[in-house]
Amino acid sequence: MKTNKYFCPQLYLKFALAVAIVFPGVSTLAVTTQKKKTSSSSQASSQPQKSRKSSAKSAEGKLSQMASSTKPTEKKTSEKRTAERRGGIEQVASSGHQSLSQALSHVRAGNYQQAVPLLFSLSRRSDLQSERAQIKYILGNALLDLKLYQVAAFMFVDVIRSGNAKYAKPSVEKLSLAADALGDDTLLNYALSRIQPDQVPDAGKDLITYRLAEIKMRNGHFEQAAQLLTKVPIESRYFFQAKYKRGLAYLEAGHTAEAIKVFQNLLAVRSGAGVTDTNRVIAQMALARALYQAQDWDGAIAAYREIPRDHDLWHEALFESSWAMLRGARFRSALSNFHSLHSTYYEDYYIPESLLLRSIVYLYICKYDEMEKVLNLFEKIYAPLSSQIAHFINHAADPLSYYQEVESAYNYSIGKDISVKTKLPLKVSLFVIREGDVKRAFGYMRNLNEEKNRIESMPALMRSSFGPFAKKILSNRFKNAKISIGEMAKAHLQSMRNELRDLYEQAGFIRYEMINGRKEQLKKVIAGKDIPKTTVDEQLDKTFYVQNGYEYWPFDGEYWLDEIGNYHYLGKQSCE
Amino acid sequence: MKNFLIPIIVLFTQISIAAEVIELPEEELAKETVLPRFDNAVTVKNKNIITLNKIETSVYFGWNFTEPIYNQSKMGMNVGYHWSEDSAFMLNFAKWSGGLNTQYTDQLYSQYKLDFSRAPKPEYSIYGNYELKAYYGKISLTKQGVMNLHLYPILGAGITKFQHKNYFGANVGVGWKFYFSKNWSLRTDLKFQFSQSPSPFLKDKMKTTDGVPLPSEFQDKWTYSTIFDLGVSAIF
Repeated sequence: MKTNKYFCPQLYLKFALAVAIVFPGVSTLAVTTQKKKTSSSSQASSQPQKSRKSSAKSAEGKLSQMASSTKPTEKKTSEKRTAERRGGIEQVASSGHQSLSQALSHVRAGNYQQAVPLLFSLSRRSDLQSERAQIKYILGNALLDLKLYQVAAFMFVDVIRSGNAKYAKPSVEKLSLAADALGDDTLLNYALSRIQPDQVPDAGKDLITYRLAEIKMRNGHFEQAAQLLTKVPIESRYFFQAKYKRGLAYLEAGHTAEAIKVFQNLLAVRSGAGVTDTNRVIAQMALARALYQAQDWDGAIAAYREIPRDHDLWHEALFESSWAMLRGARFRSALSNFHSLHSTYYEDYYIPESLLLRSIVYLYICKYDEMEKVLNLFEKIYAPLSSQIAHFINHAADPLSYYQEVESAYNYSIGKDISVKTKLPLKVSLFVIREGDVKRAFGYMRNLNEEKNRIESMPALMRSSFGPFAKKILSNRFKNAKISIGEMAKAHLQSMRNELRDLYEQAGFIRYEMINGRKEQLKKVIAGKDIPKTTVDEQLDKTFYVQNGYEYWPFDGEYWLDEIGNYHYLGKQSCE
Repeated sequence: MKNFLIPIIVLFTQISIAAEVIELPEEELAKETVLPRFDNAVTVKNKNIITLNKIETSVYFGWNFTEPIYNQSKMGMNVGYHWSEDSAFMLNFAKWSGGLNTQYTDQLYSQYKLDFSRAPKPEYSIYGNYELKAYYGKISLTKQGVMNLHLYPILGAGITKFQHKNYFGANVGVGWKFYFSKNWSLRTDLKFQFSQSPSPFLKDKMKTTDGVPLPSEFQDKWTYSTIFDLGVSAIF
């Protein structure tokens, strides 16, 4: 630990002791808050709001007054003590308040890198016990300005836990901003658990309302959530997310028509944005899902088709539209989609349901040979997968071993390490990292890493005792985030294992239907009913398309990236 | 070329009723030219033509289009090894046809009595070529069927044996292979060759009335040639 030039020598030991006492508390908080982490698919992020500066200034103002007015008070107290001791205390108090004045002037001038080490050391001083909450609040604000959100959050948590009536409430608001910027649900939940909807402060009201509605949704109070979300104003940066969530809340509550209206409205709002604008695509996807829920199969198919191919959600749209096609009895179209979905481009995708869906389509059109092939493929791919998942779950108890698996998959997905070796099949790990909560947790870790780099690039902080303190906080958060991701991964794996078990049962039923269908077909053959066996390519007239500007490329076994999504199945049903 | 077209990929499948014109809904036909996004996306998967660790042999017939005096044609073979999906090394052996390019030499003989049969002729050549398989694609020539193709730049060096002497040379070019199947292809190479060779013009020694010169009397010179090879290739 390096001494700061603002420290007086006799305080140094005291400070070191204070930090040593504080650190274990920090670690404990990190563990306990992380364990409460819940999943969220929210994509919101935020920057600190302007309102922070005004509240920081008011806190500064009061502290400035104190810094200048404490000398007479100290003098009154010291009259009751010996002259020698009085002199020592005065020296300490005087140096403390000088440092405080200096720190505040740095804050006022916007020199946060100079202010932070000073404020940090002052927040540890016993002679400034009564001002500690205010100092930490100002320190937290300065750290927010430096975009050191995690460390700032710790300061605000300390203020909230201190129960200081004046600073706890604004700290909750600031904590929610920091947590939002970090993408950390644990901190956010901690902050929001201390707010009642009617006590939401004006600054950051939209964010807090939005997050409170999210919590309502998680708890299954969809009507209340929808109601709360209407309060996010159109000028808020959370308006889009709030409206989207409102649509989802309506869907969950069974108000499909309202949900469709909300999503259509949302799409209209984003109509000026680019085709691949994520918000626009998300709205389009939500509309397609809502139409599906309303059993408007054609509407859903048309809405899914509007998802642009060069957007990540297109893969989901391709699969989900196959469901709509099946329900709308558009079997040929569904099979066209399956040819893309079951190409080698999707060999790393975990989509067991799609194979069963394909076999069901074949069942509808009496293609029992194809159906058997697909069912066999399902068993060939997913039987070993299921046992590997079960084996892993039974043998891995430590969340960090789960984390290692998904970390390898994550590195693979960002092209960092393509020679990845994992105990779990890659498609399983990749599926887990695509889940909303895991994705968000990795995003949080990325933010932590950026914060660590930011701290290391600030020499004024690194030279002071604040540097090691901040790095230790981040290190603890990294560790806990890894544990948290490991626990999420474990939960997903367990649910995958259960899902596969269910799908296996369904595959059994489908196979039974296939055998039954074959039996009926055989009966017809025996009864003398002719079932011709010509092939499409022998007699199909392709000239219509060729003459209309299209090219005809017969599928010959290899898959091209530009062909994915453009396959067309030309078979017809074999049922009589 | 495939990449310049918006394809409709049609799957062949067994059907059990009479074939007819199948109408695809207009909205299902390709309308986007953008590509789907995948982690670590590659252009093609499950390739039909795999060349890794395979040996290739081919026989061909070739021409040196810019050769004015000697016979332009040759026959030969390539033997090589593909050590990756991107690179291969080929030994190109050629047996040059005897005789002269009579299109010009007959005229020169009839007008000036120049007898180019006195000049030393190329007999064999052997070149080692590096081939970079820069492009793998497929092409639909008939709009009813598909052929895979490779396009590869060629860079190499070698020697040509004339009657009396060996001459060094280097070549650079480009080749195409159009695959009939996973193993057989039509191979076409177009190369620009820069090599030494004897100049067939020797003052006061080329007329039938002049004394017959020794091959060593012909002066060496550097020449550019344009060579085209067309053959059938097998990869295994």
